[in-house]
Amino acid sequence: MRFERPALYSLVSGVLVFIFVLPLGAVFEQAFSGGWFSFVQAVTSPIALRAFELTVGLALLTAILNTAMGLLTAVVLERRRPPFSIALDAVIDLPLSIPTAVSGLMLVLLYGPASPVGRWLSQHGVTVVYTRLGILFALLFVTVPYAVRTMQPAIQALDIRQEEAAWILGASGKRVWLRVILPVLRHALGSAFLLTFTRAMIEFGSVVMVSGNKPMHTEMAAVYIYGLLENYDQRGASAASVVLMMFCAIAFVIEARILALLGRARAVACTKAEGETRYV
Amino acid sequence: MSRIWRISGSAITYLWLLAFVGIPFVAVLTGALAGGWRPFWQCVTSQEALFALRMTGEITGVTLLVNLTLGVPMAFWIARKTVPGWRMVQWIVELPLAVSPVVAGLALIVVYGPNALLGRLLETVHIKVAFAFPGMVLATVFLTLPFIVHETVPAIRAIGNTQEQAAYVLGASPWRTLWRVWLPQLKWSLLYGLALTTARSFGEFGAVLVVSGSIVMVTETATLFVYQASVNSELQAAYAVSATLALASFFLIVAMQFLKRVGGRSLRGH
Repeated sequence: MRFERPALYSLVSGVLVFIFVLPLGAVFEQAFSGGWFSFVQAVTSPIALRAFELTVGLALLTAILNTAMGLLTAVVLERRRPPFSIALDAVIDLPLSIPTAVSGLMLVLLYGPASPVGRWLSQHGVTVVYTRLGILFALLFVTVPYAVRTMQPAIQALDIRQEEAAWILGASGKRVWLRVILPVLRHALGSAFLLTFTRAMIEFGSVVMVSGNKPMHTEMAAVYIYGLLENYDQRGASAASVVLMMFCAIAFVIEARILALLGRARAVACTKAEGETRYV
Repeated sequence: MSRIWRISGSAITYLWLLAFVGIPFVAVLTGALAGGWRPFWQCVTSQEALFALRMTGEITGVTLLVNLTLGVPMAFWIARKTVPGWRMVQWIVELPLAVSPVVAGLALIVVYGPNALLGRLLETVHIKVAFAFPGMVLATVFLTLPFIVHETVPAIRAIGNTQEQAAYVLGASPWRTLWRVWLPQLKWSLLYGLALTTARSFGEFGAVLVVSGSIVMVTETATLFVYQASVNSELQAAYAVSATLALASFFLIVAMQFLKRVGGRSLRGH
């Protein structure tokens, strides 16, 4: 229409090329500038492999824990309306707006040896700061909002009549959850899982503060890339970046397939609902 | 039995959020004020900290302007689907969600760095991008552009274009249509998008760290100051600036909650 003028569109796409397309393309170019062999060599060094392994493992653990807790939180928020639910809602958004470096520092401060909590934990043989447990805590903190906010609309959209029907037919609480509620939520659970997973994989600020960055032990992929850059190894950093982006791309492709399936399921549900109204 | 389950469900939620979100937040505030107000105030008003905080403010301001001017046309482009290329734009906007901040910074350095082709070209006309202010803005825009687009696309689709056509038939110019028809209807989505952009851009760390080189008093933002101070074990300064940032984000959260409640109906699924 009136705003859809060629000049505006070419201007916007020109800017996009200079901000997104050229730089990311250059990373790929840089990664393969020494040929395939040196690319493979760069990303299969023991330190790199260990960093990727640690990243994927911790991100998976984070995604599992936070998807489960996201489901619980969303159910509590939407169905129970507990006391202080406004405060709860605000707390969930907090990690979105706190700088990630600050959230890392918070964890160091809280669980470090200087605080009573950290001292109590270390007396019981648990050290959080500069260990993998600390990284897990940081990732859990950072991904809370993504899990909850993905689950919330799905729970709002649940048809409570189905649950009521199940109750009336004598199903137990556990059975209602397993056979009625969770099957409807499976797509939302899938996207929450993948979103938290990708977020956890690319996280940098909080991890760099809390992990201590010991190679082979607590060094995550993003921190490893930063380390390479500090040593002026742009090619190695680019190669590792390409691998990290590939992981995320795979996760996104899987999520897109889930969304496509969800779309189909919704279309079926809609036609069914239309059929019902026609009967009525 | 089910009553116990319900109560324990709520209790677990509260405990989880308290342990991982609430208590750390309170800890940084109390940690910063542990030595009283005076050292806190001294740290925040030291020359370096003030410079870093101002730098963060400037970057956030410029990023907001850039994102508004870029994001709104892109949102219309994606929402309308009439001009070819909208799918590509949508893909590009999704990209930052899958790209680590460090990788974003690296990508900009590879193109605009002093040894790169574009960087050298711009150097000949005396524009320095990497390790300077423009690069830091570029990095922040890279990571925050999705927010405005994400918020406004569903709103534009929901509003449709009948009112715009009516305005056009009545003889309004495109600018007038934008100001009188679109902006009043999009204001809540835009404001929420801007709030998210602000939150992310003053908290941006990884990309800015890589692009800026974190030069003290030249390209040091508040989050970089926190990082440098904690690396140098100047913990009091790190905590003080952290607490300032945390407080700012707390107020931002309050503003976002307010936006959600006031403009709730026109905001999608929040």
